[in-house]
Amino acid sequence: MTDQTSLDPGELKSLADLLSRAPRVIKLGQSTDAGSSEEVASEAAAGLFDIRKSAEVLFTELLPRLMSLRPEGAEFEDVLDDIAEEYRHINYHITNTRLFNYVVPRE
Amino acid sequence: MSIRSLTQEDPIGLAGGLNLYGFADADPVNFSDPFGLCPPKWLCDLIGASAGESSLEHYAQVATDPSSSRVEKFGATVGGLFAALWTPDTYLQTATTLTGAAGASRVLVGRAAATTAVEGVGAQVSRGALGAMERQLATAGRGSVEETIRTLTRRIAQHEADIATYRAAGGNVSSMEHEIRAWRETIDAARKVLGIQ
Repeated sequence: MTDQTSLDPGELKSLADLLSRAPRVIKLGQSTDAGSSEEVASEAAAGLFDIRKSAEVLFTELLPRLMSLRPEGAEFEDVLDDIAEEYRHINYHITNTRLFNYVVPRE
Repeated sequence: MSIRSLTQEDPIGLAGGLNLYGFADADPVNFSDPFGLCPPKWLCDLIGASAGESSLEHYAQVATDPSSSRVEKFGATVGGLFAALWTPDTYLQTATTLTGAAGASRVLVGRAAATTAVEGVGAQVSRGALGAMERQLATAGRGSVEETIRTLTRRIAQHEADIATYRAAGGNVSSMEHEIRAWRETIDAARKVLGIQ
């Protein structure tokens, strides 16, 4: 994994504030198990920003590197591991963002 | 004596059925009850416990599954407490098991009653995290799991810095703190499958 740029707190806060005023976020925040609307909004905003960072790493760095390497080499394996870590990160946010967690199938 | 029977009374008592010497609903191949805590099979079916899983194990899995809602986690914690408290005998058995992994205080407040104890590490790791890491080890090898530990350690450091920045800007950081706990659990699972203390 490449060291990612630190988040822009102003941008993140703006998105969280915007989301916190959305009716569905307010409604979710009022349910007993979802926490406050500010929590729901901050979670969704942080998730979006983190997914964006991981996607940038995937498509601007890791995929070009992967395409330039021979599959038998150790470096190719390293890039595959890096790709897996970005997938893990994205999956975490998809699974743990309450605002959108209805997209995750459950038994 | 049938091998499908217990040699002493089922510690769950009458909650396991009228036959106090019955074991795993007389179906030890498809159903097991290692802690003697599972109620009748029909009840385990009702709560969603799968074959080979006691009610306590089931509640532990639900309570530690990141995809579980807060309501599900709360319900599983309460259910886990009831499963641990069926009788004084089983409560002591459960408390002993969990204390070894998590410490008596966590058992007393009931949180560890719904958490899977992993031997050898001293950390609490969910089945989901451990299963994922076992699959990674099998698919990608030891070096890949070691790389995961390094990557997540860097990610945690980055997130801690982000948390400080965002908190200073007045942001709500609870979800970011939750993410750090998830990565720490993943690191613990990775160490577990690698046999690192």
